[in-house]
Amino acid sequence: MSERLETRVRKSWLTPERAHYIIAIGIFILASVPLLTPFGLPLEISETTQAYYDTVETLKPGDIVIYEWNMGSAQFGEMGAPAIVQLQQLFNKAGVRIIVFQPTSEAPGLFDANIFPALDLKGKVYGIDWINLGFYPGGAVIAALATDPHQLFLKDHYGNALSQYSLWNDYRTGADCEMIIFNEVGHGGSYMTQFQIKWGTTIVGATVAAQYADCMLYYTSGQLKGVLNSLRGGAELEKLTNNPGRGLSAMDAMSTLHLWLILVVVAGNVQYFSKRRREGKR
Amino acid sequence: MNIEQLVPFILTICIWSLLYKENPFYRLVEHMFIGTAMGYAIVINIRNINTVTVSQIIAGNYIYILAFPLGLMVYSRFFPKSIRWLNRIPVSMAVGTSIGLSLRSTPDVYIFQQLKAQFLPLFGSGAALTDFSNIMLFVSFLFTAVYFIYTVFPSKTSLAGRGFNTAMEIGKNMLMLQFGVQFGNTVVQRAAMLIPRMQFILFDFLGLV
Amino acid sequence: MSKVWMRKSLPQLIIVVLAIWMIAEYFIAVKWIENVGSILRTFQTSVGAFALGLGVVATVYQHGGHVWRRTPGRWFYSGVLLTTMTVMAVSGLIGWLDQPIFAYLWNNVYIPSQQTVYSLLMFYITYASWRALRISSIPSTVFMICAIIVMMMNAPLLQYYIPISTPLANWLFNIPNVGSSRGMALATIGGTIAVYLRTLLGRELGMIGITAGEE
Repeated sequence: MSERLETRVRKSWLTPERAHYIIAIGIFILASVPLLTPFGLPLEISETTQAYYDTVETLKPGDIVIYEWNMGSAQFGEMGAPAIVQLQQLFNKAGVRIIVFQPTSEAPGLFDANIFPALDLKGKVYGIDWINLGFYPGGAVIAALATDPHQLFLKDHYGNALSQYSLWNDYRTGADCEMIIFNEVGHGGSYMTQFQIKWGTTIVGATVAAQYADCMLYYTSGQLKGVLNSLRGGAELEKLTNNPGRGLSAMDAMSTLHLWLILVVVAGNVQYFSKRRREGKR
Repeated sequence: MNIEQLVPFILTICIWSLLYKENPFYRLVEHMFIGTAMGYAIVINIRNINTVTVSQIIAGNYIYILAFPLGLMVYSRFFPKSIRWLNRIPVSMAVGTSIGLSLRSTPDVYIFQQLKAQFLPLFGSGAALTDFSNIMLFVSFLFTAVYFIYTVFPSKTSLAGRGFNTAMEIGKNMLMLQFGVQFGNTVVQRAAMLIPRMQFILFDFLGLV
Repeated sequence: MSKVWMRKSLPQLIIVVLAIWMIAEYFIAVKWIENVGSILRTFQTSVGAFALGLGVVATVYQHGGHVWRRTPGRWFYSGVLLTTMTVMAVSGLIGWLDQPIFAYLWNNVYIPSQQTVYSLLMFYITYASWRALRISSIPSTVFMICAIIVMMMNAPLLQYYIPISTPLANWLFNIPNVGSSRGMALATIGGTIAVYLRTLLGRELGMIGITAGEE
């Protein structure tokens, strides 16, 4: 082969910058096409989502549930749809009483502006059927919620005295709480250490996908009775509760993005081995 | 097209322009959103002081007046060294409380319960896959735990040393298996962060569906 | 009281007393111990409420400095930051989300921008996969294969056309992942408890900003 041709063949046209642009364009196309023309593929329900749904369905009228949302706006895109379907499942259950609690500073704004407006409260009355404690910071807050909530929590998110609400007067310690639903970048460990260890409280929840593998530790040991895997878990719960939303509509795009990433990995390996072979031949 | 969503759409495009290269539009939007974040932090901070501290004092718990000087001590880190040490007082309160709250129930939740779930019967369950799974569970746990033993330095020539090093190699591969599983799930998280933005552009702004 | 005692020993004493009180409160069912524990927890939450402003002060200090000194290429952006922050703070303090300006900035500037910045991670993880996921050694091969199997399980399209991916990925999740996660978690929790005990014994004070040799 001539020297000029060898030089041209040796220099790959696929520079890192070009590869990045191709990858980015592929991501944009493969994320938008399935949203516009959904494939409508069946969605398999995972074991942990089914367990979550079944556990929440065991709630009886009069049971008190603590619903925690411990994430910020960065996770809202991923966990917003699951939060809406989780809360709607709770509000659909007649007689179940809900204490909403947000240990993260951004959560109150997200709830007021984006989550509560999307819910159908099904006639549940504030103060009797549900209350919103709002934001209380610090690691000791969950311990306080378990042992002496009336000492720390004096006002709700809207600035009203909590003592006027019958639901709050019925909740004196963690023993009065039937179930905790956590939504955090973690595995609900604080609730295991403060509630479950003393009163055997049932804990279920949702977490970001990166922490789902971690949650499996506690699901297989029986400490968690059900876990939703991020947006996918939210989509599965939408299917189970027959309440389709943004989660279900996102699943086709989820598939194509995963497929693109797998193809990119394969292409990267092909390029790597062909480069090694070229260098080996030289 | 929904004109009300034009501003968020423009902000989204400006941030995505970083994928091409760093540019003034991205920097402008970046600084705007940090500004809004800081503004929100101020609002929530003041609301929170009112909800948590002031309401306690109004309710007659006057001991919480001490929370104000303690809370303000946190800001002493911005002052000269002669008073910067004051911020150690509230921080040590937080650290002490957190250590106490963690130590009292961590061993049960994170050690005993986990060990109870870990050690399952290795044989005799009646199903070959269950036996294999339990053996695999035990093996992956054991070799991963061996990998984290940093206080033993076996020789590479003795039989025990070579065995220990092999166990560490297997443990490393078990860890890579776990990281691979976690990475595969992290892709879901990343995709779940992008898809809502695409839904916003296609559904809320362009109104295509 | 000597300077050293105030700066070093007093924080240590506070840590030890509070930690032991929290533990004692859990195991000793005496009313006055529980009451004091309750007050201490409320104190921690009250003091924690003040700490949220630390980031704001640091940001104002840094960006205010850029505006003051007219740092070339930075002062304009810092000015935009400080202006947006002021408008957001003032409008939020007036009426929270009932205030139109605050609601508009929250819904149309902050939330979309924050989510879009994090959406960039999808691109970065794909770039990283292109460059880093190679069959170059046994550990990296194990990593890549497991990642691909789990990705196949999480994508309904691939789940549908490659049915083996679901039971295989579930097995990977429930068995080797859990086993090695437990090994790692036990090692981590052992280290965490060791750090806590060292802090209580005064041998580790990095948590409160005291470095070795410092007074």
